[in-house]
Amino acid sequence: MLKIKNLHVSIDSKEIIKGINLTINAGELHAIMGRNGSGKSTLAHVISGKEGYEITGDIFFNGESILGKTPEDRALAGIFMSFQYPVVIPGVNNAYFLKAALNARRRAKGEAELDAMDFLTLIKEKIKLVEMDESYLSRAVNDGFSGGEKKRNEILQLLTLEPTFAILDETDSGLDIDALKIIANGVNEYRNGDRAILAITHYQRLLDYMKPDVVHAMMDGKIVKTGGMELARELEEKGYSWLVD
Amino acid sequence: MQHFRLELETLQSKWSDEPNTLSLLRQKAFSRFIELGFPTKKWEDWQFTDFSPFDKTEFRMASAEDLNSAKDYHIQSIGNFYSIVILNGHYQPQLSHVPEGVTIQTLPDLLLIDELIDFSPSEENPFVALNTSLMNSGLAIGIADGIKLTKPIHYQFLTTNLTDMVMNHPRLLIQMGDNASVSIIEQYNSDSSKLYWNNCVTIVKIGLNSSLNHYRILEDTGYYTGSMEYHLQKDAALNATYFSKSSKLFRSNVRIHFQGQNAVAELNGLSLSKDNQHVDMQVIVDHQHPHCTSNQYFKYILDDYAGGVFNGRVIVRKNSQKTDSSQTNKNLLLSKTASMHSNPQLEIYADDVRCSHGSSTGQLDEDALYYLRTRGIDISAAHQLMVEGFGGEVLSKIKDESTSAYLHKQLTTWLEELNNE
Repeated sequence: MLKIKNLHVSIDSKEIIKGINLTINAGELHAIMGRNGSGKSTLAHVISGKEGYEITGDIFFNGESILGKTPEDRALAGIFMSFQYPVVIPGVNNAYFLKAALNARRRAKGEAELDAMDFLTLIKEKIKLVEMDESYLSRAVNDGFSGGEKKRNEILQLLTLEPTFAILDETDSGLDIDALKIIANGVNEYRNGDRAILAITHYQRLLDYMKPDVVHAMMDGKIVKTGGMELARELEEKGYSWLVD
Repeated sequence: MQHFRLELETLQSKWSDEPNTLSLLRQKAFSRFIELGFPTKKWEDWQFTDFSPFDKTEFRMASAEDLNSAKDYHIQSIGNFYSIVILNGHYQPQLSHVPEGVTIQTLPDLLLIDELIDFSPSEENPFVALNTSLMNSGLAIGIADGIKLTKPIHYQFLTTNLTDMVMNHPRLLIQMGDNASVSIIEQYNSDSSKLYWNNCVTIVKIGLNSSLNHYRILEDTGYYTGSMEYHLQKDAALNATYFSKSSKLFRSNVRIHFQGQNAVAELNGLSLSKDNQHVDMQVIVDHQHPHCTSNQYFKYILDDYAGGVFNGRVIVRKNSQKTDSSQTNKNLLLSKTASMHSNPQLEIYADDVRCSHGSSTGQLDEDALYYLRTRGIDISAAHQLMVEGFGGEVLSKIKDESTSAYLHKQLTTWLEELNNE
């Protein structure tokens, strides 16, 4: 589904990602673990289409190069990112925003747009999965939301938009154990054989609930080790320094 | 300035049967206007706006013939409202309808109202002096004690199909008794291709324990200068929103006088401008009594070469303890060539008060745009959504639903027009 080939990324001529190769197939959940500043979040934004990077190498999504595409075109093709820091958008109603996003995606798929009533029925169902109060729908996007509420709102979008590929950028950071379980349940609800997930995290605890198929350790812009769940446990126990030896 | 004198002479010869008090009032105010002249860059509260077009353009006074040319006018409907219609400066009783308990007076009966003839020789606003001397349509809306209207009153000032460049100097008085509650929409619109100038003075008196929702909607495409004075008695409440779009040149002075305790004034504003349009607002809130609350929330959206000025001043006088006041001005620049001068000020002479003020001017948040785009919303829709959200925050504070919906629609249309240009 996603294929990254010899990816190098710089910001202001400073190289952040130094040659990454990665293939993620439908049905798989890959985790990337690494310290702050190892390039994990940059990788997520480069896949999503953020501007301002100098990029060499290529990224293919379902066989097609996406590097020349806008963020919205990538989203409509089925790529989604749950933000580490979801952005507050004052004055823009959360439900209105979700409906606009969903209908853009439906149009791209050649499906009929949902009207207000059908959307409401759908969203009320989805919001239960992330155990959020319905009042969050009538508020401005992420405005005045706590850290945990913002992350739940991201997962609500994931469940509503139903992309084929989801990047979870530190979706676990700042969550207590109850919130973490809700997020993990939401992600597991989303997961199926036709979809793939790239979860970026510092910690093993999210992975305990999600059971990744492949775990990568990232250091200094490179993937330095790849394994299974046992690698996540090892990184949690021993940290990252042993990887350089 | 000479042509203003000629216009005054013409007006006075046409209306030679005017009561002497009015004639004297016009002369007195005109002398003051001549003394003051139009504001220059040296006038501190006026320095960011060029007022020379008012002097350079020879507007003539609206007259009866302008009413004859107004044939295919379109009366706007915002909702199921009572209405008061002024057409090219002329009150139209046959198009107006107000309920019992609401009275309408026009010139010269207006002169029975003290506030009108009480023109201060030390008046500092030349536009108020000019309005007083050239006042050609005066209207007083009286709301009796205890009147509580469920439907708003829609005052419409329509400029249409002009044959010349015309000026109007309307005077509007709103006098509310005690324990009354009304909503008044004051709307100025136009379909005129000729340049025109409305120089308005509005005086509002809100009685004891009365509540007024006042929405001024400016869809004018000409010049607008306006002064609004509000006097709030004890326990009175004012909820005002000022919306403007498309004015070529706009200057508005708003002043709040608290005349008793526990009065509340909520003032909100949204201004949309593009091309070379220029919008200049001054808001002065004068706390002269304890336990009063005032909140200001003003936003400007500017595109192209548009210019904006916001001058807000909150004065808390010595005896005004327990004053609660906030002042916010946020501005969105949609182009690199638009400009904004924002100057919120606080003058506090009491010690037990809660006052805050803040101002910000910037462009659309790039991170928010990117966030919306990662959800499949294309860049122009994302722009539209964010700007609508920015402006919509002001409009959502409007209590009357049809007015709020009408203005949301105006905002959306304005933005769509920008995108199509």
